[in-house]
Amino acid sequence: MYASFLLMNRLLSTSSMALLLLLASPLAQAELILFPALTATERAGLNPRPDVQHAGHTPKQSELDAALNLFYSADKGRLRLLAEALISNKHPLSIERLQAGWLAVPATTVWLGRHHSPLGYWGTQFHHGAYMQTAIQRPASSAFGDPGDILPTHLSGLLIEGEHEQGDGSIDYTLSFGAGPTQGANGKLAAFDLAHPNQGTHKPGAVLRLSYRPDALASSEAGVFMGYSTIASELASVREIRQTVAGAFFNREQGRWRWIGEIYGVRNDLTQPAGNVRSSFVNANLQGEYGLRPDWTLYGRAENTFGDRNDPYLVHFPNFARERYLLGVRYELTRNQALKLELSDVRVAGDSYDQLALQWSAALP
Amino acid sequence: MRPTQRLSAGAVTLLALMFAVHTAHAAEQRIVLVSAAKTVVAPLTPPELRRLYLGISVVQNGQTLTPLRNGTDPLLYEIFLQKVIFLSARNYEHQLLSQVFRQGGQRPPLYRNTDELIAALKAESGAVTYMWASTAETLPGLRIIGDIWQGSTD
Repeated sequence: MYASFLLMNRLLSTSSMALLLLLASPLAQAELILFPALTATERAGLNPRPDVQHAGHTPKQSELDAALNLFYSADKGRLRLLAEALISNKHPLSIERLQAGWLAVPATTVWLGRHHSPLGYWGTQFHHGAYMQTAIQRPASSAFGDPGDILPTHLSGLLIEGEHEQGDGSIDYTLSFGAGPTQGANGKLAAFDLAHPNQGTHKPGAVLRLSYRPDALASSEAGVFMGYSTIASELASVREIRQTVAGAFFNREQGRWRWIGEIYGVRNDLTQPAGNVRSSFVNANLQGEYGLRPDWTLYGRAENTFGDRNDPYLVHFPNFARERYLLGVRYELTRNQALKLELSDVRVAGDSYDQLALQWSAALP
Repeated sequence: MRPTQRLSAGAVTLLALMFAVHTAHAAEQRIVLVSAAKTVVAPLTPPELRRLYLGISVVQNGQTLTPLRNGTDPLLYEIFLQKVIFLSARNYEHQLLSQVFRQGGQRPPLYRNTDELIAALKAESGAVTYMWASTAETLPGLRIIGDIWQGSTD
């Protein structure tokens, strides 16, 4: 069965590339959007952590990050292509999303390809578009890449998205099944790479997400999600991780206020040479935003993790922000450019620090 | 007639004339949904129209409708946003961007030139746009699908 899964992934890579060429033809209706971002970060209070595993990943005191996220979508009849690629000073070009879809009915799309896992709210709401999210930093449970995502953020395979109308509202559903990440020798999770399907061992994962919108065309919604992944590990101390995630989220917009909340319950069964061990913890975050004026937004967020003391899974993610409190302000420079200033207090394994970040971001055109 | 009476009569007449002119400009206006004459599109309900212009696919009899935004008249666009989409321009642009970024598709193209808008309407099967009824009735090659707003522009 696993061999069949591997064959499916290789076919997926080939067919995705072929569809990309088809839908990139001049006859397709297309949209290309660029999301550039420049972020300057200063940290205070950092200490060396010689006793922490993978300590080489300690955050730097000062950082200047430049990133360009390219988004492309094309339609040809009921066929749809979606691609998102990220270029940054930290990483070479990476294909974040590459999906070929079929609009089965107007309210349901069946996708094949690499997509963002529908766990939670942040991942599928903001993807890699820095301009799209009010804050600079994402919640730790929804982090992409550095300082380390603890949950599968990408799956490569089948994604079904749809909605069922309920009067003025709707019930939205998302089902994802595909190749999940592998855990590298540095402890980090590495997603399936369509361009290099033979790299790493990527075992299947699945996620189901349901949400309710009182107004089908508005943004407020509340929902639940559940996911299961088998993660092969290249660490000497871990052979495999069976991870179950369940949680809930909401986004509430009313007048000048917006509230976004998520809660994740995570259970990991680690297969180790010395014997199996179980890990479980809960992570939650709540962000409030206030539109002071049409072009000024104040925001704040609190995040915390419970039951994480001496967690055998989290020990491999030293930069995971177990607790964080932040305050920030966002200013709309123009209709498609924003400036953000954010101050945060962060606690990681064995250390805590303060962080000041300034970001310019845009969505062009 | 005494001079003061003449003055009063003149002032009343002037006021009446001003009111008449004002009333003419504040006459009822209609915004209509139009397509090319060769395109057959059934009237859309208000929710369907909102869905279409918020970047969500609307299909009629196997034909995917393509919305075009009419930016040739700022007042027309403002009324369309306020009375049909129920969003400010900033929030509308952000919601469109968010919808496309999450699920793919395209933001409805915005045309600021009437000739280019009409050309696009005729070139794309299933394309629809909105315009003043008085304009639609004078342009050849268009079909009026139905009224989407009626009121005073005062």
